[in-house]
Amino acid sequence: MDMHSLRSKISQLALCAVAFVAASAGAQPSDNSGVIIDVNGAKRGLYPVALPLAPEGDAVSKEVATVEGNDLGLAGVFKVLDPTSFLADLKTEQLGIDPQKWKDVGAFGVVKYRVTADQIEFRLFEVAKGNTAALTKMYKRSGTTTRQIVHRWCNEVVKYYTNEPGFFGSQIAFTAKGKGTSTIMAMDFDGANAFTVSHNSSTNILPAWSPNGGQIAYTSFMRNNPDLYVGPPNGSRPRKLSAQKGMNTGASWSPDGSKLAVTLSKDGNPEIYIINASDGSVVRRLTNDKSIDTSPAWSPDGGTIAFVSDRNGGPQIFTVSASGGGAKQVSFNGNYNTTPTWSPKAGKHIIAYTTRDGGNYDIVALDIDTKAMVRVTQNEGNNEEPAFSPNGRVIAYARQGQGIFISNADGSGKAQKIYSGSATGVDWGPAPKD
Amino acid sequence: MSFKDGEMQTISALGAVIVSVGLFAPVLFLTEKADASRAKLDDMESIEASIAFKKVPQKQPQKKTSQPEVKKDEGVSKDENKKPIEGCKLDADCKTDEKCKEGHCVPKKDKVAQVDPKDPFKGIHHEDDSDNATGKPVTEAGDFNGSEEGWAPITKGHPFWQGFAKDIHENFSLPEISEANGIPVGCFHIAPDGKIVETKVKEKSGSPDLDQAAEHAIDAVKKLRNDNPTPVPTELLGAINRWICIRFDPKSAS
Repeated sequence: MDMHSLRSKISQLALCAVAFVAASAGAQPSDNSGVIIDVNGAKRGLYPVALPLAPEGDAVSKEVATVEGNDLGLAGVFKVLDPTSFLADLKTEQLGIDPQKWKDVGAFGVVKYRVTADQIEFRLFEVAKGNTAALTKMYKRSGTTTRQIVHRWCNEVVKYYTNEPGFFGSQIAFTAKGKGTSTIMAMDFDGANAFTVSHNSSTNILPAWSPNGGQIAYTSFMRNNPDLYVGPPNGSRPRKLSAQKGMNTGASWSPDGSKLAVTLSKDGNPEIYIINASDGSVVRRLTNDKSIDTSPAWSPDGGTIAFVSDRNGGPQIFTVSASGGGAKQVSFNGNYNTTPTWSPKAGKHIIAYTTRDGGNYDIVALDIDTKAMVRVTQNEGNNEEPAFSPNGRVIAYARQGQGIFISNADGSGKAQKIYSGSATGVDWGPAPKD
Repeated sequence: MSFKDGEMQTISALGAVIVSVGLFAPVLFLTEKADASRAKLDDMESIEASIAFKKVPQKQPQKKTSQPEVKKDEGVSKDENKKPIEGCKLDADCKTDEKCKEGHCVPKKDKVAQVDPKDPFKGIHHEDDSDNATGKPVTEAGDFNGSEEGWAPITKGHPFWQGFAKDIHENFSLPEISEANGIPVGCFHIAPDGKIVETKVKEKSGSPDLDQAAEHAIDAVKKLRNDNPTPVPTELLGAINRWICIRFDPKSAS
């Protein structure tokens, strides 16, 4: 037998051995996978998050839990789970988690925290990823309030999940109606710490935050004519910015804060103008129509002004280039659409506005590019004058006779009341600086 | 009796030789014979050839399933010489488990009525089952075989499965902000009374939240079906001897 034949036979023997092994393996139960049922399309909803109270249970711990629950509940992203359903032994877990215990109550995320004399430590767990914290932060307590610390933490949580800034710590300005007067007020986004901005006994309406949050523009009748004033939110004496004959109303700041779009009726008919934020001088007139043009809203990219005009019949939303040109109608639903406001979401052209449906007023959001419309409120009274949160996730608006509410901008979830009382003219300030 | 080391080594070596010869001899013998009948490579002409064949679309591997026995109508046989099956006049003209009704043999009782609550498969056990010897599945309809998963697609349209899928879909919820890549697969062991005996996650998707959503749906349906069991219809009892598996595709069907 030559070497070639020997190698051939060795190969054949090896093959025999392999075949024997394969045959032996084949005798084991096979792991067949003839799947029979395809379930397509998961329901998409809010992210269930558990926010258990720290086991210490002291006053500060309770405040942390309250503020945190309120913040994340308003974020438009999370569903805060009922603490009474929790199965975990919080004293045993301390700052960790037993993932299965939290899975069993439907939690996808869990936040744990510990308050000490000089700091608060937070830990965020993604239940599906086990008991290692996905996000951990420690905040010193000196020189700041517990609310501010929790707001900062919650902004981190929102950013972790959405890669967007949170709006916790931002403020909302609005007009509080009294007997014979209207006052400009501001408050934390969750309704806490409300304070007066306009300290006069006249009628003050339509507040507008400057992009950096340092100024609020509003119209006041304190000198009988509806003039435009600008002042710091802290209530210091405002300066008169525009006092043209007739209306000086509906201010909307340009994104860079150098100009404002306003409604002026100095020539008899309300028209949209651009004025300088420094001295109120007119930069350009944007509309020239016999009809009423009012309620300008400057787009976040600075290129477009949305406004309301009844030039085609009932009031509808139009847009015009901030540098001038022809106006284009963008709202076509119903015969009454007013008070437009732009979503700050980059790359999107979404406006929310008040629409009349039958006898009620509601909030809708319209994507101008795709024409897709979302109804934000329905069968919940009369809702008007929307304002987007700084990240565009939620919308604040006034509900006639009840107060100010927040709803998710995509129409999901339930409206949450943040202010009780007669209010109009809601405007949301910029994101907090951190 | 004891062996010294040297004796032990000798015996071991002898044994190894015997085993080796036993393995090598048939192979060498058969190979020599084959070589003798085979033309030498040097004498052969080299021809390059390729075989063309129609490409068959790739399909998911399907488990072979025993199809229900086709009941042919009388008189449709192509065998012209075959006599049509006679009808019946008496029960005696029919098989033992049949009776004569209006000239035709019909089952004495509905299959559902035959199910013994203590042993639902009593009527379909084979006393003389010879499948074992041929390597066919050793289980019968309803006997759970945990090594097999799924069933033929033909069962998908049954209202029982549709209801099952509906229950799963209603509990399959994924947060909007969660990643939804991949398709986890979860399986159920369903008892004839409709209760869920056991569940398992067969495949994970790689998206932790999606896997958790699938697990949640599985657990929720297990609880739902165990609290309010829907008995498995008789005609599907053969299907539940395997894991019934669900593909949790988070995206809507196109």
